[in-house]
Amino acid sequence: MTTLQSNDASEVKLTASQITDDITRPIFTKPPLLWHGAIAATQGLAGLLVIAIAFYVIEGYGIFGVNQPVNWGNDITTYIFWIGIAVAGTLVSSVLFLFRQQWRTAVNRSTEAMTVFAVQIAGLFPLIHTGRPWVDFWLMPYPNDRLLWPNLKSAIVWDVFALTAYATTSIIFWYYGLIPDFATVRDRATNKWQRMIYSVLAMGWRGNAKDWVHYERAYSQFAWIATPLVIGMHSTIAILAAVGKVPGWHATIFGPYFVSGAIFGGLAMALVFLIPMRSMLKLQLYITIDHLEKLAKVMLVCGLIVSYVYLMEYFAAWWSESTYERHQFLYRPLGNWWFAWWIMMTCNVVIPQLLWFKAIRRNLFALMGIAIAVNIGMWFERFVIISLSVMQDHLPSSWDASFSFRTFDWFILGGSFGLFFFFILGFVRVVPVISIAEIKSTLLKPHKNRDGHHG
Amino acid sequence: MAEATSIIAGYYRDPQAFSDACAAATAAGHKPQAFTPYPIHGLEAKLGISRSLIGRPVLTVILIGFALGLFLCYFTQYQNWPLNVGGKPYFSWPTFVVVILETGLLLGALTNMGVALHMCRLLPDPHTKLINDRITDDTFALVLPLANRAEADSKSSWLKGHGAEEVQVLCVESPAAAVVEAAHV
Repeated sequence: MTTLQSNDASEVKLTASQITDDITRPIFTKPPLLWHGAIAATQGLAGLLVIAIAFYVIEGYGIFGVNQPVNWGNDITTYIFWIGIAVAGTLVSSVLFLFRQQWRTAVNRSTEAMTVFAVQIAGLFPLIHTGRPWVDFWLMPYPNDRLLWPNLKSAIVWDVFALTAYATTSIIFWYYGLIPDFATVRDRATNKWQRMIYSVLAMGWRGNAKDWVHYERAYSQFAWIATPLVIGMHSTIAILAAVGKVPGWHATIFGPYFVSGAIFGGLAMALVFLIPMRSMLKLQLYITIDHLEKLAKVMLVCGLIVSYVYLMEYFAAWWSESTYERHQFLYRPLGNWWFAWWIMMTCNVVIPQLLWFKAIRRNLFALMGIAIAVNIGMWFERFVIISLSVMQDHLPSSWDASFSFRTFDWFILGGSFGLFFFFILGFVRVVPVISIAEIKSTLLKPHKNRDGHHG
Repeated sequence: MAEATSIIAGYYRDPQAFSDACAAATAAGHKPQAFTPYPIHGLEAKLGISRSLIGRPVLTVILIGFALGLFLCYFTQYQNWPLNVGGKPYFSWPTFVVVILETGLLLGALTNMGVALHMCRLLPDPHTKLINDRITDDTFALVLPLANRAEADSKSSWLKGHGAEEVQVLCVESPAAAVVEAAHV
């Protein structure tokens, strides 16, 4: 792909300096009023998270609506939701890179940012969930006073390892990809402080051909390392549920189910911010409708896998002849929380079928609507799996009576969205939202576009 | 030796002309250095740059990391404090797979970052100044070392003859890096 496909597919000739200008413009211009408004709104929402955590530290875990037998309520549901968002970003940055999908260049930087922010937000929730977050370091294996070690045979401890490794790798991989772009910003900054800050961030990048050889080699190695890490990350969460002998969790299909569900929901989240971002930053030439359509296609495939698993779970419950499995799968659509299951089915199975139509895939309003629906559906999916499975345990007297969604549950759920979009809004003003060096090498191949960039 | 740190830089906008000039400079024995805003594939062959070997230390560390992860599991669960979990064997290797894998890959990722930064000589520096600010934008620089002042004219015409749009003689602190504190001669 040497030429850009604009919305009407006409060929637009771009020069290297025009690409630099277009992508670094948000960094060097004053943000519009709308941006300030959005920052204030998301900051306010994120403040709810801070308030909830403060109350929780003072009052204890009782401020949330979880109670026996539902120990895994909103916090673990939201944790898995955000981890899923993160997974999709790594799919774009690593897996599509290894498959040499050049269209990923348009969106990889912003989806990687999504990964970095989502994984940090996700990481908050298990730390909250422990009940005494000030001793969360007990989760790490270190020689302590009582000569005890964490139980490494426990799936919970696996999750600590998986999340730590995945979050660390995502963050350094993202930063590594940014180094040449920070150098571009550094060399264009006129403000003294701006130049100094970006100079530190660029670590003295010079663009030496020798350095590019090492740089690109290490970049592809990062992709090779991040791919098993991301699959491991979400599979570990899946195993965490699957090793539990709880009807509704105890299924071997959980690994691929969770990974494809994560990509499904994560790409939907990517669309939710890419669609407004590309028009507000005027990047329609770089993030084209074709790119969004490709994301929608990947989303559709993952949605179909997820739909298959939904049906397969019912088949397995029937085929197993297990009373408890059958009870669980009838409880989901017919029990007290019936609406969670119906929202999940509508948003994840029915609505995404619209993506079969090209006209809908290329209609930004429709795409945005479907993406928002999928996000809602994916949160409810995790709620159905995690919480509904334990809603009715083997002691019928505790069924349904105890679990509720309280004010602080809403605070941490809404606050996590606020924090995420606050990060995204900050990101678009300080970091090049498209990999400048990568998109130049994709769009300006010397042998094909020889005269295309003299301006 | 002020003259020993002199360089001459030819600037290009056309990547194709630049690549050709790089190949010609290498063939003519000028010991060129190339600076580009984005990677050009095939350029390393024209400049005689061998392929990067940074995969080796990274792979080594990943394998060491796997061993460390296994050791962690063995030591904590079997040697130091054997804990009976559901009557399963103390050394039940399948339950250690996640820990082993994650430890190795995390150490591999950190090593990859460290080795790459080391090989590209990258360190946080608040006052980086390239010989030309447009190198990170749209300009390709072909830098040749100057043995003496007299060479400047011949190499300048050589660069212009090989498509350079602009030629500049510079005095730099370190000819190898050809970056910091560039000053016009």
